[in-house]
Amino acid sequence: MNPEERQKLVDVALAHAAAEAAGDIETTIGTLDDDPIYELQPMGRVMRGTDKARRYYEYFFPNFKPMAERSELRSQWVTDDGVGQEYTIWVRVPGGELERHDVIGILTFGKNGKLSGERVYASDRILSLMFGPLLDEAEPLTPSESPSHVGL
Amino acid sequence: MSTIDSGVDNLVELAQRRYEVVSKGDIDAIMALLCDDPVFELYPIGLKLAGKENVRRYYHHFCETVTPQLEATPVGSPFLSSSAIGFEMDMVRQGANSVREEFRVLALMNAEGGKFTGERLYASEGLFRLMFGGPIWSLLTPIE
Repeated sequence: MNPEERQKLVDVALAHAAAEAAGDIETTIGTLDDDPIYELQPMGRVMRGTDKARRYYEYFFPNFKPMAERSELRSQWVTDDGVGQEYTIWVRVPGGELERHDVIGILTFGKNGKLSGERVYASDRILSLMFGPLLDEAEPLTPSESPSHVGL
Repeated sequence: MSTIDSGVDNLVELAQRRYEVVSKGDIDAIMALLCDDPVFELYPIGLKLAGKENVRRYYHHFCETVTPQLEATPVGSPFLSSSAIGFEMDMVRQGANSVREEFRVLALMNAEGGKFTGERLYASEGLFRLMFGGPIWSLLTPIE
């Protein structure tokens, strides 16, 4: 991947993040490939397809976003695989308690200048808050869906 | 977007040296690459291991007990964040009775002044109980 190609994909990832922040489902979905994959780690599960991505955001925006009181970006990076961001998020859960969650989200680059999805490292607890009942539909991750293995 | 513009080569070289000495189980060499007060943070379980002596004990445990049990395969290439070098890795443990356990870990290693200040590790509690198990688990304290 040359620098120009990578920058275009970084711009798509940033547009995706901005649309998420704005609660704009159509623009968010529009940054994704036709068959996006959401990989959930370390639980090792996956959700596939535009329909599930849409249902995720339809739950995420009205249910999770209002609970997320604040967040702090701890680090971020870019590779040929995608854009990674490490956050600490404070969530006001039902009942009023403020919970701290540490999350990594890697927006993965796909084909045709779009994103292939996202790889998320987070606790089962916050994934449950983010995905709601859709999390029950997540399937076990198979090795073929992991990124390519290369030497260090 | 964030990469480390200065000192990249040094950080990559530092990480490579660390990888080599950890692979050899050379505890003194590992400790020489760490700052005086290293902190290992374990997420999402929210526990940490702090202090050079505790970290030395951890590496003794890790190199003698854990490494022989785990086969590690890097996932993708190492990456540079705004303050650290990181990597993702798949780990497999072939346990008793041919039970195969698979884990994924993402590690971010921060450095200052030519030494690592610790790590932020993202993995399952199952992997952490293996890596930081035995006498090390009781040394872990909550992250505030």
